[in-house]
Amino acid sequence: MKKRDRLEIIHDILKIIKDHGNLILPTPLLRFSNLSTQNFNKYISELLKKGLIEEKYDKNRKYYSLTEKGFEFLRKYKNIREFMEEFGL
Amino acid sequence: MLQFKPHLGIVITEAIYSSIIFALCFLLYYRIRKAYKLTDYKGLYLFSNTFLYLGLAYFLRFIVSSFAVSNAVFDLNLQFNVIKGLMLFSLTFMAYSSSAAIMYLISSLLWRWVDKVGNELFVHSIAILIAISPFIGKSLLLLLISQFLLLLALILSITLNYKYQSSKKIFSQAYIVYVLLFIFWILNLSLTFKLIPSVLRIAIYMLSLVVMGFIAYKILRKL
Repeated sequence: MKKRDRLEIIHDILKIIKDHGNLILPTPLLRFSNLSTQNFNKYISELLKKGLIEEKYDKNRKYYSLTEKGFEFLRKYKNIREFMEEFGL
Repeated sequence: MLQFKPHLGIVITEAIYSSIIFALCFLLYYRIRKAYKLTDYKGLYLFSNTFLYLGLAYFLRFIVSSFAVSNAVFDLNLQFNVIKGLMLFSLTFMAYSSSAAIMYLISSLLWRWVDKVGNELFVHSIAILIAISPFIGKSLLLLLISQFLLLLALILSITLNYKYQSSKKIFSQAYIVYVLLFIFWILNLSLTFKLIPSVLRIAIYMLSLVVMGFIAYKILRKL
């Protein structure tokens, strides 16, 4: 299986959140994202810092949800990816 | 006392041409930068800076042309030394800015394999060195040679990028854009250094606009 690059991993995490009704607990997100706990935490911190996802709390349980910027990333990902590949970036 | 009286038609054409090129460059910069802000991908950052610095070079060219138009229309009677100083500054800045643009393009193509080329200090050091080369060598020839060396480095970068790129089939599209950018640069460089007769100026401007328009189309349709 081809090793995913940083952008592919970010895309996959955001897509998992979106596909779960834009609300998912950390444990299933870790499982579906196919990452080690250490890498998962690193990516989640990055996504929170960049404002692509946000934390939401319900009955003391933490959920992750996409922000508007996160949805924009998913909408534009395919085109940006193709652009990067076409231009050898 | 020597006075600066350029041909009005030429400077107006020059001003229009530069304004179109810098507008296109800034539009491309803005769109690529937006994609960079979303993804934080270094290749996009370096590629966007190519158009920022190319745009800056043409923006200054536009300012100088507009200044020359004002001088001719309003009969400002500026002394030759003032204009000479302005031209010297603009040539140095344009040499710096355009070299930085080419260096950023090379960086965007090679940064994944060669760490150093993605370093901005390295990019600007080379660009400054090229810009001040006429003062060091007391000849414009050194500037011309360094610009051609940069273009050779660009051809080498395109070849290396193509060789190591995994998706060769898709990349052929971009290869056309890079070849066009190369043609655009050669044409404008040849005109600046008077390697092409001035009577061909309008034809070269038209061809450059077509080339730049095509590059813009290829980039903007994706972003």
